[in-house]
Amino acid sequence: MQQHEDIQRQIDLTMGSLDGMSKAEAPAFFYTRLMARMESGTDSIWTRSLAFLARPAVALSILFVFLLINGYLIMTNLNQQEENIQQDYVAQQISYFDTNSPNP
Amino acid sequence: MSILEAERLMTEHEEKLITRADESYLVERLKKGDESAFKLIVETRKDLVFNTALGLLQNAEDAEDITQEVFIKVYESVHQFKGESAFSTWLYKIAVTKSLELIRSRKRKKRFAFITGILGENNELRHDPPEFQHPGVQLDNRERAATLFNSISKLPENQRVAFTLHKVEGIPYQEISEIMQLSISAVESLIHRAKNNLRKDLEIYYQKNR
Repeated sequence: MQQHEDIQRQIDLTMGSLDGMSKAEAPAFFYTRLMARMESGTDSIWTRSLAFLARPAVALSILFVFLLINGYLIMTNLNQQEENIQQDYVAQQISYFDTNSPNP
Repeated sequence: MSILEAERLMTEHEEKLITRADESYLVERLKKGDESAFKLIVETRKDLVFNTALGLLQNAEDAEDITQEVFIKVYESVHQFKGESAFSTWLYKIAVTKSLELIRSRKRKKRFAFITGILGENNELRHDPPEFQHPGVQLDNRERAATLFNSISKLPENQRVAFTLHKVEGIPYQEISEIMQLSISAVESLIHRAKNNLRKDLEIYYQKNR
């Protein structure tokens, strides 16, 4: 019981440890460094494009579209193959009956 | 309310109005490409952005980096600012978004570090940050504040943002609701849940470290 109260007291003190805190100030010469960064232009179009593509939402969307196109191509290919097989079979049947039919 | 207090509040209100009018004037000048307006905006708002980023990121170097990115974003996309909210609210929004992006990327790296650890490349936890000491915390509270910041870093994203903005930056619920684009009651609920979660985490901590 005493231990529980002691822990609760510690928690209350820790929860209140940010009360009355002052705000942190940006480092000295911040503007100079900011201007140096802006002028150096480290964020080129390529860096930005890569950063955009590396976003999980964008990367997953691209992957999803890629898989969708892949799936579509596979399905159309299979259908095409089935059609070809059917056409071949029909052609074989026709040629079989043509060759085996008695001449008029 | 005493007359003196009312007068003080009136003065504070007028000051806010003047600041907002000045801000919109500066923003208009910046939209026209005035660099002195940009410098003035940076000089007067850099601490606000830095303190917000520091509270969320718990690392001074990262906070400075994000503060720079926020002002670069302001410079590049000031035309998108329509003045529907206060300029400071817009700054807070950008600072929170950028900070969260960095936190997420750090988490991804940490996960990757865990995988490389499993693969036997290295067993060190290099991606774990050291204990954070906020420079604004009173000296006798430093140790407790570091423990609290450690617990804050374990909170879910929304709770972490709402609690930090309120506790570290001292922003009222109304403005937090504008920054996070939530209702005031949602912000209240987030902060209440954050406090409960922090108490639970601290209880575990103090049970282990008695």
